[in-house]
Amino acid sequence: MAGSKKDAFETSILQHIFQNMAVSGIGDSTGLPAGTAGSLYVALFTADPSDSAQGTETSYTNYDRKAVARSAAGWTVTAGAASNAAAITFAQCGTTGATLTGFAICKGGTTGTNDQIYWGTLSSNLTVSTGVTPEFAIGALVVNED
Amino acid sequence: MSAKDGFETSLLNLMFNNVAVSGVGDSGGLLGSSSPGNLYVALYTVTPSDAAQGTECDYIGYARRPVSRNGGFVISGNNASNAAAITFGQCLSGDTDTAVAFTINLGSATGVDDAILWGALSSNLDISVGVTPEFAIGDLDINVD
Repeated sequence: MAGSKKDAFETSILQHIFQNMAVSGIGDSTGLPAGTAGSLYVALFTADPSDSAQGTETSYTNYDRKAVARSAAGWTVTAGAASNAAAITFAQCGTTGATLTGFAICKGGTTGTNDQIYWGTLSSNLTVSTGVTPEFAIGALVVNED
Repeated sequence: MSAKDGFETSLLNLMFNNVAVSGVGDSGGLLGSSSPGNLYVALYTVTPSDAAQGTECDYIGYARRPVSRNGGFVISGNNASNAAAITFGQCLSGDTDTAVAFTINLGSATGVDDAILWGALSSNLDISVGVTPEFAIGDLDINVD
């Protein structure tokens, strides 16, 4: 037999990961406590990651991972889904471009480090050439728990 | 969007074995509870769903069973399972139940809506006087993906 997460617990887990909120009642009344909020980091890829593979992170000129605060200002969590609460705007491309196909949410801000926790494909590839500024509009980056 | 394999394992270890997920937010990461405590396994006569509570067993002798968040579960990949047999109370008399599903709960009180995970039994179990329901080692499987 296999189990499924209850709806409310899915939301609690997303709030814990993305908004640094405690999950009360697990183990003791306090449960899983809030820690240091810090940030999660969004990265862009030219070869998609997978559940097990790192993929290839972009290296277009000026690229850097973007920090998103682990708070309600950074992420909106509703009914089993987390999404970006503000636009996530990457650096404008300089001399060397790339074709972006995927993204990941990472623990740290260092490009090329294999510290992803979630990954996904872009709804369509994005060709980044000189002068282009990649951006996720508000709510465009969605993580579902089910 | 999909969770990475390593993160799925980490989340299961946090939920079931109280192991912190390092590196999220800071080096300490997602912290475990101050004491591991237990999770509590319950049996149902009406299957819960992601949103609905279902109906918990109430045969004479029934109570939720505690499983320690410190060695009570085995985590492997994206799977958590029971490390030891989970044995419920023997049905003593009076009402009998047909168990169809289980939940994993925050607390021990029968009938309280505090489940975090649920699943259907692989086959129904008729619980009549003298029957002692049990999950053998590894029979209670939780997969995340």
